[in-house]
Amino acid sequence: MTGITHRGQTGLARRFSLTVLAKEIAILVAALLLALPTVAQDSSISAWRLTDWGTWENLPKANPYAAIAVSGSQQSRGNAGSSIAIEARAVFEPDLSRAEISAEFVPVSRGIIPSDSRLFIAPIGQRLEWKVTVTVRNPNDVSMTDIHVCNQFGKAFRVALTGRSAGDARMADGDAKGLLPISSGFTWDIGYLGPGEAARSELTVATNQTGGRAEFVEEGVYSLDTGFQLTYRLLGKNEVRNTAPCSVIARVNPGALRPDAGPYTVAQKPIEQDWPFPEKPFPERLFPGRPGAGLPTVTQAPGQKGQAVIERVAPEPSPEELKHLETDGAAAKDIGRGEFWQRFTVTAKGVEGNLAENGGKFVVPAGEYAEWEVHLKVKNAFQFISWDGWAATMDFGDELQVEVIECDPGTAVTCVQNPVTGRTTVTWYGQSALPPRQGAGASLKVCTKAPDHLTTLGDRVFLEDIRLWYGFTIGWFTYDVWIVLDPICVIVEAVPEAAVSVSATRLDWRVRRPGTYAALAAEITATGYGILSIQFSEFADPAPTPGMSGTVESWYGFGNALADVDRLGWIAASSLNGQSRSIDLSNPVPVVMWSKISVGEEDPSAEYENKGVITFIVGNSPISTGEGNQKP
Amino acid sequence: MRKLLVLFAIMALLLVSTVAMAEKTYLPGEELPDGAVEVEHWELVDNEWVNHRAGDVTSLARCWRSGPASGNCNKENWVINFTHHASMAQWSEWSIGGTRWDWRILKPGTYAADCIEFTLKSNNDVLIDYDGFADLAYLGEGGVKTTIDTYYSFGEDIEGAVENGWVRADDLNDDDDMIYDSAALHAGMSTKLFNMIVVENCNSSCEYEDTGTITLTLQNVKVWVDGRAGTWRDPQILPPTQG
Repeated sequence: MTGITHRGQTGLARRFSLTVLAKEIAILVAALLLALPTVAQDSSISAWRLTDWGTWENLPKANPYAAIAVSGSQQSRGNAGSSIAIEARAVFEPDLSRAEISAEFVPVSRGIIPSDSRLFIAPIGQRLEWKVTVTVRNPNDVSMTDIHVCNQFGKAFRVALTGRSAGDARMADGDAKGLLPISSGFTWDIGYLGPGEAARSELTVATNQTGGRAEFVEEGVYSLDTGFQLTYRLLGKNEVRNTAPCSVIARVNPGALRPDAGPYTVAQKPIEQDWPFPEKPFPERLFPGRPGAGLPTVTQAPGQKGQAVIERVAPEPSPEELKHLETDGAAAKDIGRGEFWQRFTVTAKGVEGNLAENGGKFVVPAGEYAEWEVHLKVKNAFQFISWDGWAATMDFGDELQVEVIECDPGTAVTCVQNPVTGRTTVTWYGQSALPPRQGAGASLKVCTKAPDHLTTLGDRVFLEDIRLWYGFTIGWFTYDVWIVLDPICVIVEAVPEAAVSVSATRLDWRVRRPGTYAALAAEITATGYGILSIQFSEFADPAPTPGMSGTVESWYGFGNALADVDRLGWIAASSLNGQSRSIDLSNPVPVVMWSKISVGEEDPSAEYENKGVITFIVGNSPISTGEGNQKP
Repeated sequence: MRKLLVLFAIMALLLVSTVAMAEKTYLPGEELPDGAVEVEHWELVDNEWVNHRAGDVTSLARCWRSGPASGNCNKENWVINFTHHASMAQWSEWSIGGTRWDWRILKPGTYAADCIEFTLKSNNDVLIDYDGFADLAYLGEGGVKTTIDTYYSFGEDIEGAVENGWVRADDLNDDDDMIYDSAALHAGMSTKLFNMIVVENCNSSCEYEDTGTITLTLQNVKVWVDGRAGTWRDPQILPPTQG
């Protein structure tokens, strides 16, 4: 599905801030130019800075803003005019240290045990409360604008805003469309922070009402929030910073989990460092989601092993999207409809031979190593419009391991594993604008985690929440488009296995007189998983030792009783070859094999023998050998 | 009697003269594999299956199975060799119209008769051994010539017998004739046997007689057959030999 939103006239504010910045630079340069003649006469030189309040501030020699120096003095005498070359140079190299956002969760309630700054162990059956302090700092030499902080809190928590030092903060339903299991959204519009300035906001987070009581009622891991996300604009460029999410492990006796007072053992501790998220966040979808079903999904023939490929491609724009774009006529004309699906493609290809594809899902044997290559591609299908920015995110299943193989220059990929869910979020984004008709690609290696690999049978998530966001500007308006692709699932199947028992592999007849005789030759029983196919080869009438002629006519039959075999028919030994029978191991029915020989007066006394071969093949489906197959 | 067997031997030689005779080996059959278990079986009689339990010594055939196998793994393919073995015992059917011939002679002379019809069927070589054959001997005391010259031959009629030639009774004892395995033997060989006696004037009136022995020996008796009784050896599975 795709969505597009109109970001309105935020560009005006941006342009205003750019104007201010340009004005500051111009004043500095002008001051330098004006000062140069003086420099020629007096080596002591001063610099001033125009403040936000419109006043001039003299800059000392040591200051974080600018410095100036003079050199190359000249002298001249005469009545004639002279020409003196004045050279002025300004080098603008601002110190763009990263903006900072920090979120401190301080337990208020007794009983909350911090495992680390982002993970708490807390008891059930009592109200729990944290005080959260969010601080945004601007350590840069230039101003930050369009500063915005947001977060989403889990449904198990109630959040109250208790104060802020700047801007407009509010709580709202953060997930009106129900895409996420989040109930409370925190939004803080700070707007502007000058160099060295900071802003702070305080929240109270408490357990939500469950059954009339503000407490956890059962043990589990609760996601407290998704992490605070700071977005701002610095020197005309959008920036994003994130804090790690926070979780709570609820236990009846939380202290018992840490007998050694050490941190509670989880698969992976929350990531402390800031996440290098893409420039732009994923806003809410403007239009109702359109499922990707019916889109060109390239799959392999069902059941075919090796090189299993599943591809997800972007859908065409919805009528709503087109209508919206058509309000800006140029955009509608610019849409390459035929290439629009190329905006975003995700292709997962099985590397190992044990992978298959069936019904649009990967099929993987349980407990075996499996490996995929996932190729990501984006393409700006516009003819003339650049994408201002773009980012794709996706979540891989919790039993998968993801590595980056490569990505095109100008793009970056990050893989972050969620310590609670175990899923790996991959974010791939462009580090600069994407020109029209240009594309980019990245490749990932995805494999199962050793030593157990995929163990849970049934449908599992391979890849979901596959999203692409891109933004572009037409005239004074900017647009955000985001695409959500259908998830890719993997079916974990038990490895076909069989325990086969054959009651006899040799049959000895002792015949005193010519006649026709029958006996139960062997009973084949099997247990396990899958389908056991039984194939016969090299069966023939028992023949005497070399040099002697004649054979003993021999037949085989299948049935629970001799009468059944007579009814179903005997199969001449030589005709048995190439035939197969199968046992469905989910409901195994023994195969009872009978032997019939006919000894005539023409058969000389001798030792007759035939060595046949029975081949058992266990798989997910019966092996067909053509005409004559019989089911047990 | 002796003449009869001489003729039979001649017949056999003629019928199977093309068969390789020498150095033929016979497989005596195999003991059953370790762990072999006899199973019930059915015998088709008049198009009806007649059940025979394991150990039924009235059976004409018996069946054992052995070598159970089992496995358990994820191996995709399993190959199991299945051996089907049949040990066919030698059998024989023979008939002779009589085992005693009685001549009553009024006058000296040479006499011949197609006394008897002989048939033999088998599914392998049959050795015929003659012993004690001689001219008919004088049973009383005294006498001038105490034997009657005796000959044997075979054929559809007397002309055929003459053509095939007469064999003197004494000459039979020196021959152990083999009737080799052949399609004819399987189907059953039969002939009319002739004998000829020459009664001379010097033969005193009396009773003359000779008793010979013919032994039919099947050449491929299986180890699991009681060779003397021609029935199932008991037990079929031999106990382990003591080391």
